Amino acid sequence: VPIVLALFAATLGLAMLLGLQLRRAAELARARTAFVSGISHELRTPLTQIRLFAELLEEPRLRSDENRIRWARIIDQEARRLAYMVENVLSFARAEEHALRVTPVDTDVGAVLDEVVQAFAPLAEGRRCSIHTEVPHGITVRADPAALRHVLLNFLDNAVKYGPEGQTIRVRVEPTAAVTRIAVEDQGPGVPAAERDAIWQPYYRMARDSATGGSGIGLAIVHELVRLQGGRAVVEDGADGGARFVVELINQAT
Amino acid sequence: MTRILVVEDNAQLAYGLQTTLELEGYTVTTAADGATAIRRAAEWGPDLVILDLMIPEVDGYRVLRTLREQGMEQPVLILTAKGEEADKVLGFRLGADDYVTKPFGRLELVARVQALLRRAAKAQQPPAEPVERFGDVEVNPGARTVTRRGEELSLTPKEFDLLLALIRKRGLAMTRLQLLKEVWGHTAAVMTRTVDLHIFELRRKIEDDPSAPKHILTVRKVGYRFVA
Repeated sequence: VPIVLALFAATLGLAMLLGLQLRRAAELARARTAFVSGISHELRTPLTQIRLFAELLEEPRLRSDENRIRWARIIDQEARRLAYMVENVLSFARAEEHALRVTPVDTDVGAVLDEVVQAFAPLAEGRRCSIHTEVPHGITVRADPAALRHVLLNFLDNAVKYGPEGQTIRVRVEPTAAVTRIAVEDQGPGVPAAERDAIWQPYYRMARDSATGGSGIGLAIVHELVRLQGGRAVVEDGADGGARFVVELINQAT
Repeated sequence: MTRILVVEDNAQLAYGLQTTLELEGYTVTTAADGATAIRRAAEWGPDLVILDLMIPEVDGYRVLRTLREQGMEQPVLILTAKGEEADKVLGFRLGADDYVTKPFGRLELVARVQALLRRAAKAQQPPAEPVERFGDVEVNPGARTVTRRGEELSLTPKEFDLLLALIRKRGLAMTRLQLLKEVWGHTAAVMTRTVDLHIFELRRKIEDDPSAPKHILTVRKVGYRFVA
């Protein structure tokens, strides 16, 4: 009888384990499906604009310098967005395979920020957002410059996407003794305290953002890239009630 | 002017759509969220709505359902990045007339808009033709009635159609064959006698003196001609 009981218990245990595994697999499958439809939606938005404005450029009835400049700018801006999204997906795929690599070197924060803000300006312009930077000179951190660029682009893109049109996005660099904090602050609705951990997980999307196109991978990549560089990424309350995304990186060894 | 409401939250894309449609001569207004879309549709009375599904506040499906519940019968074209079969089925079930996925070709979109508007125009009742008076006879094409000195005449449907066909071509001679084709849909000449028989009946009913008609005149060797 004890043997029968033990077998019974073991079977029950295995069944429960199997059930749990199946549920996890189902959840993952659901998250993946949502991701695929989210990313395809996200990629289609810039593609749609590139195609439409390229076609309008060819329309003889609308030929004017003003239109040409404005539409060419939109095409350029959306092509950049598309490139950045593709980069995001590739990084995410690498992270999933644990193949994401970074090479931290002594990096001038001001130089990277200038470059990123300049590259991002056309995208911000699309939603009439201005970017205000406060960067003290001569701050050097241990970081992979390409990875840092990617992190900051993600922050800026989120700020533009979830903040209101015409807002001011503030970028601040705050050096402390051991680490340097780079903060990107928007004037949007902010991230509720209850969701501040979950947003860094792959495929996670906030319920209120279901109407905004998104795939839920941007911050997961940020999290991984920052972790690999020995830093950390957090979200806080911004001064205007918006979200304040912060990356903390280790200062250059002196 | 035909009015089109574009519901699209991406301001740049809304601008591109507006430019595209205005080029074709349409009057365009845009709405960036669902609540505005519903309000604008009610206030402005567009002839067609182009609707994105992923829009803030009230999503596109709900906008569509609300518009249909409020009795809006104008065509709705869903224009969205959601391209899965289930999305399309839901859209059509809620009352969409067409579905275009992004990215789309500008000319295809315009062609679909034109097709929807054409179909909608056809579905609408044609405007009623004015009441026609001659002598002491009054013909009401909308009501399909003919009165003489205030009294309703009893005309068969073909007699009525024949009278109307003659009135519409007033002053012009029409051959029996033309009348046959117009009223009966026939093209064969063997039936022309039918026209004469109906003309005989019509004259008997509307002319003061059917043997000396003043309105439905014979054009020798050709056919008939109507004069008021």
